[in-house]
Amino acid sequence: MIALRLVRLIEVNADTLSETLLVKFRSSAHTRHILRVPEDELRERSFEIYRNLSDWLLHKTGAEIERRYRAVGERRARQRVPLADLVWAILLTKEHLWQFLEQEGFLLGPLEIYGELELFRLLGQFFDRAVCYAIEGYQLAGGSDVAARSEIGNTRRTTESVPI
Amino acid sequence: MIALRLVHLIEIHSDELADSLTHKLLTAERTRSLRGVPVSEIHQRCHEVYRNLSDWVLAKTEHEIEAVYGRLGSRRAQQGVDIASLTWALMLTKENLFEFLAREGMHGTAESVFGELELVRSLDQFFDRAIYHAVVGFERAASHVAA
Repeated sequence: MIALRLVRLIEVNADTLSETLLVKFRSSAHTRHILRVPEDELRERSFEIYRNLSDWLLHKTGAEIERRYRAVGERRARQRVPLADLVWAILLTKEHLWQFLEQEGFLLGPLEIYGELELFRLLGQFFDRAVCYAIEGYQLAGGSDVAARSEIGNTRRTTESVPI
Repeated sequence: MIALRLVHLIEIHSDELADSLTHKLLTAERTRSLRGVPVSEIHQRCHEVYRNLSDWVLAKTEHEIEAVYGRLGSRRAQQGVDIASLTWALMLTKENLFEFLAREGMHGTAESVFGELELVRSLDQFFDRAIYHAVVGFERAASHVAA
């Protein structure tokens, strides 16, 4: 039995979680380029996951997760976010959740921990699939080429602006 | 305290785990492009991760994970594997492990369950880093090929 108490705790705190995740995106060297996505869009995306976590974990089918995250991957490719930044951003969304659970309500006692283990397993599966589908979507949109061209463009601009 | 009993159980069964994972990687539709990689190389890679799991999870630094998985990503790019197949393969490596743990040794006693949770968390963090660095290595190699 999944630890529904913790899922509800996440859903209730979805606002704060999304805000603090944005702070991590801004400060992590691995997600520097995810900030090419408008902040409101990033906030809305993580809020939507956290706010409806029980739905995502317990009711959404594999096909729905696939459709959603392929679309995210395609969109991030068009926004010229490098693939590694996209992957790290999704993994950080999961890690952020774990840190929150550890701080707020995790590991109460041996009786509850089985439900918590089950929650961990479901969360892990969900985010693992999210990463893989996002990569598939990114690939479909020709993302690596788009982002690489963008990176080359940025490098050129930087180089050109430096007086030799 | 991490469940060292389970880590050792994995290491002892690393041969069996590598066999089952190799089979999955070579038959799953999502990892189809891995079929261009020699089977012995895939098997050896699976075995190496499982056989030295305690080392990977407890002792290796971020820098070491970056070096090894960056190289793996780069090699797979040069072998013509696509990035989605590589990522699914790493996910399956973790999933294969969790299936084994659920079957063989998890959920032992109320006293051991905290150590089990910590192990699952450490494994998850290790694989997250492995995936990230493999993607970085892959993209770097792929952009060199494209250039």
